[in-house]
Amino acid sequence: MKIRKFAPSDSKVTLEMTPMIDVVFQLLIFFMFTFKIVSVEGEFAITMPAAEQGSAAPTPENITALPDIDVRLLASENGELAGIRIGDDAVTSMDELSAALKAIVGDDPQIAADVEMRIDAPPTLKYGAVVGAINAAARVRIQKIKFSPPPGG
Amino acid sequence: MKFRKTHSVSEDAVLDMTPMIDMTFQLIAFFMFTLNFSNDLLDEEVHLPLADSATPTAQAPQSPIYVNMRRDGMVHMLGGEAVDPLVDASSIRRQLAVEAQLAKINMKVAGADAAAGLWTTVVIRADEEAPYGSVQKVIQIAQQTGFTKFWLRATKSP
Repeated sequence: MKIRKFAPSDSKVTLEMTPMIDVVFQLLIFFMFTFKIVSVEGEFAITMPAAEQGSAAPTPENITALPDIDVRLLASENGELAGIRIGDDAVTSMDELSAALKAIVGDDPQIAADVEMRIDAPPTLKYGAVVGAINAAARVRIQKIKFSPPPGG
Repeated sequence: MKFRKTHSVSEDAVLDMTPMIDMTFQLIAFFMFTLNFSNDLLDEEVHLPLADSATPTAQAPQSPIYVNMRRDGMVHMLGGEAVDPLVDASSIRRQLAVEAQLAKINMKVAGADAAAGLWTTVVIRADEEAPYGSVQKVIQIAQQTGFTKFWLRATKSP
């Protein structure tokens, strides 16, 4: 047959690799440049329903509830943390605050889950200090955290 | 020469491409799977506060809203413009109200009770140097628009 004659003498078929490699390198470079290392971000999940007028009236449940913990943060003029008060006591560091909270809630996870902590901080304070206080509370597994309302509503 | 005879017939050297292509595909697969478009919502300018007990939650919140606040207390909203919540609360309120309305519609479609609180989580990424008053203001606006679930983001310190 005549057609047979056009067939190559050796039966090997060579695949043209060059375009494929070109495209593959393009893809590789695209994905390499969009690659970004992101540090792991943790979070504090807080549920804060909007305060409604008149709902603050003491109900029997509120009366029997555990006393709230008041944490007050003080700020210096440039917004740095200047002092921590828990109730009326002063503590000097977030570790001490954590220890003081531990002394209040003890080892019982139920108490820690029920007790409510209120954070009162001046508006000029740096946010990092507030997160420090939340962190201290989270260490002893206090779950209910409230912020005192901003001045002027 | 006898030496010449053992030499291959064809003159051009053949490069074996297979291992290189294998490796390249491996690399492409790696970079593809690590590609994460959800990072676009995060503002890289924000330096989150450090906290050792901030635990990354395994599952992502349902349709979260990200609020990025830089160290000057400015909130960078979706449009890209910077808004100071203490000065211009209404534009933040407007954006959050749109989100709240969307969440209400979605909850209605899903048959959830919107009166018990919206299921949307407001993820607050505030810089550690940002004034607390600005963060508080944003939270207050969000509460007034109907959101109850908040995430305060922090970097997990070792």
